[in-house]
Amino acid sequence: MVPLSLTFLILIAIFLYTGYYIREQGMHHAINHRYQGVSTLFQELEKQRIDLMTAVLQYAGQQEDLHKAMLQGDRERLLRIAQPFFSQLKTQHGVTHFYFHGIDSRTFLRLHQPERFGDVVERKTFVTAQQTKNPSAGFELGPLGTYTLRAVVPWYSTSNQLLGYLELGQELDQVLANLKRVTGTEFLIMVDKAYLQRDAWEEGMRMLKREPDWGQFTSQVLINRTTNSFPPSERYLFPSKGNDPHHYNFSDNGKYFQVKAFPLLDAKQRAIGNFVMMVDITEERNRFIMFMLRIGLFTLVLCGALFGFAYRTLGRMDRTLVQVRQDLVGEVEKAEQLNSRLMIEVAERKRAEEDLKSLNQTLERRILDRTRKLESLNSELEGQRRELERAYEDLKVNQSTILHQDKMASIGQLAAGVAHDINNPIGFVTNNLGELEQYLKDISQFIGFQAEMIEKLRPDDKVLELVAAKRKELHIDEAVDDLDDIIQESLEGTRRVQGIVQNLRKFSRIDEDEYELVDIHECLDSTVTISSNELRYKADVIRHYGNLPKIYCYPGQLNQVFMNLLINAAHAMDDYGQIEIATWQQSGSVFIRFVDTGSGISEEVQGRIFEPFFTTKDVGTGTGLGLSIAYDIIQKHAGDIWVDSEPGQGTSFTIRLPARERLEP
Amino acid sequence: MNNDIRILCVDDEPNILSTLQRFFRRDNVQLLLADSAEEAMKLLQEKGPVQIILSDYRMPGMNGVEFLQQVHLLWPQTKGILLSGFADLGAVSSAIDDDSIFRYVRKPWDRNELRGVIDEALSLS
Repeated sequence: MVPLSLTFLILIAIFLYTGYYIREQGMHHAINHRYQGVSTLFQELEKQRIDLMTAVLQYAGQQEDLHKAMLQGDRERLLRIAQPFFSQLKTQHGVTHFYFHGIDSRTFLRLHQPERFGDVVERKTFVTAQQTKNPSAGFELGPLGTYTLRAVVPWYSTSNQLLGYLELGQELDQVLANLKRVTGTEFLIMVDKAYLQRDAWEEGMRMLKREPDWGQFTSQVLINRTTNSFPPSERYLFPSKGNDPHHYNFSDNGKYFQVKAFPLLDAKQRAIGNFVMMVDITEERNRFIMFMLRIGLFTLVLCGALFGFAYRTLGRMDRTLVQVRQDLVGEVEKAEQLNSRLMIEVAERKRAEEDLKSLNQTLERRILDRTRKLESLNSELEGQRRELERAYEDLKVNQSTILHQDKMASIGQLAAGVAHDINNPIGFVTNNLGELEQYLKDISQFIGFQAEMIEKLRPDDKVLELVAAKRKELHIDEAVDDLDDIIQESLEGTRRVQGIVQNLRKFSRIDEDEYELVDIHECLDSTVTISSNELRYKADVIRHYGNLPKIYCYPGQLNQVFMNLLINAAHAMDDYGQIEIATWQQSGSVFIRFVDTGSGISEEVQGRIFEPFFTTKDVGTGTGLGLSIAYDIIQKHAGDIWVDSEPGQGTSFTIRLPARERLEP
Repeated sequence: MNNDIRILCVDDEPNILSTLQRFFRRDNVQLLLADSAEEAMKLLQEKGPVQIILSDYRMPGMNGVEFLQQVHLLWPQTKGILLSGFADLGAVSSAIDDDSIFRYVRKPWDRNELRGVIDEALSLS
């Protein structure tokens, strides 16, 4: 309903405004039109007046008594003759000025002001008539601010002699009054202050019985008017600039006026002020208002009717439409709900599917991962198991090695102790034997000396016999002979003991176990000596030593290797055989080979002999460690050990050691 | 060799001491004998310094190296000779390095070797 009402209101407003606008336009045109009419009328009135005044002047100019009076210069007479004429003109035609001017351009007589004369006339109309010798007319702004329509004619005598000039003038009032009467328009005549002098103007106004008010307007003064009503603003009194057709409306004392100003032109065609037209439009306005009210009322009623009709018809339609729309909305909503439910369901399905897919993938991946993990775990476990086994084997070997080395170290220490304990007695025994040898020499010498002395004494045979018998009985000579052997043999014995101790010590140098520069041959010798107990009844040891440098190694450990090989060789002998030890040097390495004539080793066994705990001996006889330890030791020396054998053909073990002649860091 | 020469023999084994006594029997030297390092120190303090000391290494109480080192501090002119059947050369070599032991002779000793060492020691003292 609101839009409808608004529409109606807007329509009414537009209608009213259009009415107002049309009226304004009409009024504008009307005032312009009126101005045209007034202008034309004004010009016609002016022409009519001018014609009239010119005709009057020409008539007056032909009066010979006037000629005479003028020629005689008789002002009194002229006045007397012309006065009634002027009075008639004044009352009948509104002529207010009557001049007689001389040819010297001075005013000879003013009928309307006879006491003033002799002043020079400079008015345009006069100057024009003087120059053209023809009648001249036009409005002139006088020095007193009077706007006067003047007509001047040259005055000739009957003998065609120029007597002077005749001039008639009438104030604007008359013209305006006529104009007002004919057109029903009020007028205001304004003149620029620039063309006036205040004092003169005020005096002129008072003379015309008007009240002058110089300060009423800023730039102009009011010199004539047909009404007492004034526009409220000064700007209403000025013509609008350019072609602006605008006019102003105002009300004064319950009357409404339309006002428009035009430029006021004088005889010189100068715009000397404003010609303001004021049309009383009170009646028209009232009529218009009434008309508008009626029209408005009518429109309102019509609108109301329409409104009502629309309200009823449209309301019904609207209600139906609303109902239908609501129904539709409901349907749409339902459809939307359904749709969104469907969408949700679809999305859920999709998600579920994706979940399932990703779950599947995850599962697969997880299964793969698990499998891989299990596999790696398995292989890890397998590796760990193998490592453990290896570690266990190593441990076993290490333990045995340690035990063995411990044993060897103990032997070494024992040997060292034993060496000391044996060396002490051997020391003094050897030295005592040395002393004894010396003593024996001395004693032998002494016995010889004694025998010599006895010979020299030449005792009887009986004493000699007794001595000889005693010597023989006591085996002195044999003893003396034998004593030296005894001493030498004893010394030999002590030397051998010394050698055994020394070899034992050398062999058991495991306690020192220092990396040192060693003569391999010395090692081999001491080992053979130590092992001689085992070897003696099994084999002959034959040495083929080459030329070897001293090399850096762990001698105690190498001795152990040598002994193991020697003992094994001895044990391999079925009966009695031969063990050959050969050494040589070749391309930076030292080689030691043990060749026996024993039973040999089968190929199967050859592959395992360096394994720890592998033994072919009866349980409890061998540890199965000898060769594995030997292998380890040689490895530790950065060397190699290998076996060549054939069952029944004997065995050879070869050791290669790097010939390190310098201590390497 | 004359009677001014004084030699001290130290060994816990009496047989060694008597053997050494026999060794020097024909030399005109004054021989002092002690069966331990402590006894030897006592002897040296009582009877004054000697030119040469022959000492065993392994003895109850103070060992030969320690003994000779102490002696070297008190009587630097005395030449100490270590006689030992025990081959702990590490301890011995350090003592040789600091001059407290003049020579090391291994047991059983060679008579000529020992005599040479003693002659050398005497010629230096």
